[in-house]
Amino acid sequence: MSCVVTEGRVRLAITLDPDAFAELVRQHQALVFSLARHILGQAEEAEEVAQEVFCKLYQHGAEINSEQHLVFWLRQVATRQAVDRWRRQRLRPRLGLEQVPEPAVAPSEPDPWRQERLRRAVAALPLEQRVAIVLRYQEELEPREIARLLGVSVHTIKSRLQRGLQALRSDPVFCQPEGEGLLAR
Amino acid sequence: MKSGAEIEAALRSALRRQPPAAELGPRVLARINAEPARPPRRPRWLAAAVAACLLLVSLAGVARWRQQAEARRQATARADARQLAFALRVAATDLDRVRRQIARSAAR
Repeated sequence: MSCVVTEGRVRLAITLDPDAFAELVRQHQALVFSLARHILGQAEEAEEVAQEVFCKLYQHGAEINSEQHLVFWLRQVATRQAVDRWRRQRLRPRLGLEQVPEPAVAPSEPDPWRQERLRRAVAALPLEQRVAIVLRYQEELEPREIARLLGVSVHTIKSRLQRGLQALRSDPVFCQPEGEGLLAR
Repeated sequence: MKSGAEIEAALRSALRRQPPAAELGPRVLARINAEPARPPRRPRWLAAAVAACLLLVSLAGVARWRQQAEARRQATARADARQLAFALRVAATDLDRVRRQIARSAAR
């Protein structure tokens, strides 16, 4: 599969060229992997989901007719696959704080420990709120776009986002000043 | 407590896209190549047509069975009616004979 530009528009074409397909995977793997990882809270499971998504892309590539369509398709399928896997296995987030690098960072840099805590707080949200939060803040999608992707109303998405943010706001990670978490370790 | 904008900024930073530890491309291609080639999928209309045919055959079979059962029931009813008529004729003949004997005895 490769991207072919025709009349200013990007069109996908099946060429069954392994190199072109590998390049396509490389371009979009961060999107798919991160969506799955933030929904499942587990990197290993997220890699499995990402592989399944790209295998599906290989099978259904002919149905995709633009770069925009491809990104929409990847977001939709990655979200569905991750949600299905989570529901099937009732996964619990397994974010390894011990894997976070030592905080030898300048004060202006985001605190990696704090970021991991925040990801863990997101992973602990109810599934539907978590999916909405991840699509909103990872993919920078508007509630209208999230609603279209998930096939629910905009009102529902706004409500899930609001409830998710409310839950996160009360998490200790937002109640303590930056750097305090490091001392608490 | 952080403001809404600070929380949103923190979320954007924490949830930013990150690539997997190792390239997915080669693993995906290996997986695709390892999967056995699927037989071509039969069109959906074919399955629907087969199901419809089976349903029609079943319905026709049931209708035929009910028709035959009805025919058997009618034949049995006709045979019963014939037997009843014969029995009534026999009884009528016997009664007539008895009535004539009584009349003869009374005349003597």
